[in-house]
Amino acid sequence: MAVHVVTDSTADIPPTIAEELGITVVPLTISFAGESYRDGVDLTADAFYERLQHVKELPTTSQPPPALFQYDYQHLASRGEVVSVHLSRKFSGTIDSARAAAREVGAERISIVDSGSASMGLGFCAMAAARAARDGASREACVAAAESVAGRLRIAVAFETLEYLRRGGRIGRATAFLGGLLRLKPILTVKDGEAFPVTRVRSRQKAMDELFALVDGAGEIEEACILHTTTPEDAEALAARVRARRPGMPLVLGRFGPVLGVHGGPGMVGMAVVDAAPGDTTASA
Amino acid sequence: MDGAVLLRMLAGGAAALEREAAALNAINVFPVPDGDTGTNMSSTMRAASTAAAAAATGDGARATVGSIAVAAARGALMGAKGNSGVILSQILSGLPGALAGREGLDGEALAAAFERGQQAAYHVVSQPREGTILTGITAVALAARDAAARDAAARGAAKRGDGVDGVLAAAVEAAQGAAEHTPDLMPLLREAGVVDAGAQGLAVLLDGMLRALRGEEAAPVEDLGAISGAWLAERATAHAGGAQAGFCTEFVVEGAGVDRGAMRTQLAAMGESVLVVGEGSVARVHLHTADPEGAFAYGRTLGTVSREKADDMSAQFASLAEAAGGAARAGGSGIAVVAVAAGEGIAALLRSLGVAAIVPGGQTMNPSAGDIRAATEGTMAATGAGCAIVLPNNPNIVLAARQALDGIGVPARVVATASIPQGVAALVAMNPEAPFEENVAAMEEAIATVRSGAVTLAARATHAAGIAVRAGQPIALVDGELYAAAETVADAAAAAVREMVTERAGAVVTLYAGEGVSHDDAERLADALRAELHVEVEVVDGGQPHYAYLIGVD
Repeated sequence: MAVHVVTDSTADIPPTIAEELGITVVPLTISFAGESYRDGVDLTADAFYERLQHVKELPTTSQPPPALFQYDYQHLASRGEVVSVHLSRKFSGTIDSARAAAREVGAERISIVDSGSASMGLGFCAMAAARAARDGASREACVAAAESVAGRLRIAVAFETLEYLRRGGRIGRATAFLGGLLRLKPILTVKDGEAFPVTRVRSRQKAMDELFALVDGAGEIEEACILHTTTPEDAEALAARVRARRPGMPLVLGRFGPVLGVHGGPGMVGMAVVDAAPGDTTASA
Repeated sequence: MDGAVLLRMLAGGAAALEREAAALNAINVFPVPDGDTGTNMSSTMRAASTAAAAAATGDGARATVGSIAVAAARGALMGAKGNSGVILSQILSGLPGALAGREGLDGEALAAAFERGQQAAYHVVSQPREGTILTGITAVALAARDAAARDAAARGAAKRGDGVDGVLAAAVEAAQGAAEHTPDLMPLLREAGVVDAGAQGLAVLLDGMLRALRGEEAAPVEDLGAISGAWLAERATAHAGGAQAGFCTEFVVEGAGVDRGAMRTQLAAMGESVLVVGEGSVARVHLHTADPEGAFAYGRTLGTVSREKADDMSAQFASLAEAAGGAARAGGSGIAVVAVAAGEGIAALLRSLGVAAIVPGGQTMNPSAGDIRAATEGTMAATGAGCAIVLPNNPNIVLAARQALDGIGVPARVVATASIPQGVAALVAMNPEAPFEENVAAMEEAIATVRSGAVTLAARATHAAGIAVRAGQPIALVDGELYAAAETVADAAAAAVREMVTERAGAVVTLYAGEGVSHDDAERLADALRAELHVEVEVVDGGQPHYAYLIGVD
């Protein structure tokens, strides 16, 4: 039976890839002073970051209502089975909405997966499930594909400030990096579904060096991506270094969507890599 | 009871949540303190109520409690906002299951709806936590079932009423009790001095429904019989100050002598964080005082005192501090960092980067090994840290620091920082989440890449490294060596920075302005350097003696 993959808009999967792999993306909601927008549907990243510069109060984000998932689940479950891969429960209740909807539609045809990650970390999990589905894998095998990627992710994100993360209530263990009388650029990772502090650096250059270190080791890498909120030049310069170091490795360049942008703030640049599965000889060294 | 009454109850619940939304937002702590629980519950309930009203209008005279319940649950599911909204939508999903096909509502059916809602709510949450709205709905379901059973038994004897009022009243009481109990179940709430916003929201919702059923006016916020989120929010603010001594004292007083304005003045003399709210002859009081009995006695001079409560805050904070210390140790952290430094601004900067103790000292006042040992042992005892790192920040203090840690009996290391800029770089590289040895390695690596400079006035005339220096002339040192002499301290500093940033793309320059250098002087120098060298420059008002500027290039 055909398996359809659903994720949420925080996966930041570039639309062309989502379309090619047939991934259904359910949008979260952004509210600017009472006006609500569906992430990536009514509000593009460009329009969002442009507007973010001119608002006094930070926009708020909220998980999709269960009905939004229910609509897609009903539609997809009538044609097969569903694997729905989502943002870490520790960042958002999105997955609870998905679960509520699955319960309404019939949980026996729908598998819900907590990626324990965010942005393209989540995106790579959903993409792995979708590729497995395209190859005719069972629902269980699609879930396993997503979970396998979740276990092989390495992530580093350079922030200009942790203020946005703090104000949004998602700072978690990175609280240790708050404050200080110097302008510091914290580097965080996502581990066990939470933001963890890695290190702090003084300069933009060192911050980019920290991200580059993810691909500078000896291990084999299946694929990687680089995302930014407002600094394409940083992302492109880093991409050039990464391509030079790992010529054959698939590398996705993209942008953090509004929901993560609200919590990360301007100047955020992140990289996620999926390490090759043990025994996989096709990955790039 | 018919559909019209159910509609009124749903609308009453929605209105109550709307009124209290801001107050509920203010106490939102779990799972993420993003302050939207009230808004989310309110808009979810509004969606349920609106959908129910629309369905009733469409069905006209045929509208039954069954069809209204189906529409309300559907509306909540469609309009659920946020996690609290989703859970609320699950609670409301119990309505159609229990009421489907029914013409009227009775106590037993309402109790069954709560029970189904409770099961659905637990089912949807991946990791159910107690001390939340889940605890609330469990208490509500149990209390409602008991009340329905009691009512059924009573009706067996003498048939009267449909039992909805009794069941709902029991539910309100249970919800409020559960909300007040949430801090006992979740330390995060206790720490913040609040109850769980979702659990409180459930109590607000049910109270609004009960009042609508009875045709009562909405409860004013100050109504002591009602549930006041505003009260809780104010109390949370009052508690936000950190460690406190004395007792968190609360009571209610009712009597002709009650004058809330006069009470505030009187109570302010007896303690802190005084809150007095109420209406008419009733006042609800909160204050922090060393003498709760005195406060109660004062209350008794005004009328009848009830609901007295006095919690020992020092005990509360001690147990919280202990829990926090335990967490830090369990997290592999608990590293006490001791640094040698001179200058108020430098000390404040180092503390902001994680230094627990400063040993005063520097170029002309080297502290003894004993001073460093005492500071290290003292701060380890005070913080409960299991290991220590000492930053001497001067080459002449490294040996004393090593000697200080000799035989200390715990993991302790000197990271041999030769300057304040190196000390800062070491601290920036520190990660409280990482293990001790990893931190030592990261700090040592970090200091190797920093260049340090200093500007001071020459103590005497000299001629060294091809540079002629007059006594009292500004001179610049780079990495400990004489580098240049200049006519002004700013010129000396600029010369040093030019040398230090050579072949360092993307460098960050930090200027630590010493005693006698104004912030404006330092900013002028910084502007000139930015314009000339296209580097990032940050100014710190260090206030250190002897050195007009300390300079770091990272």
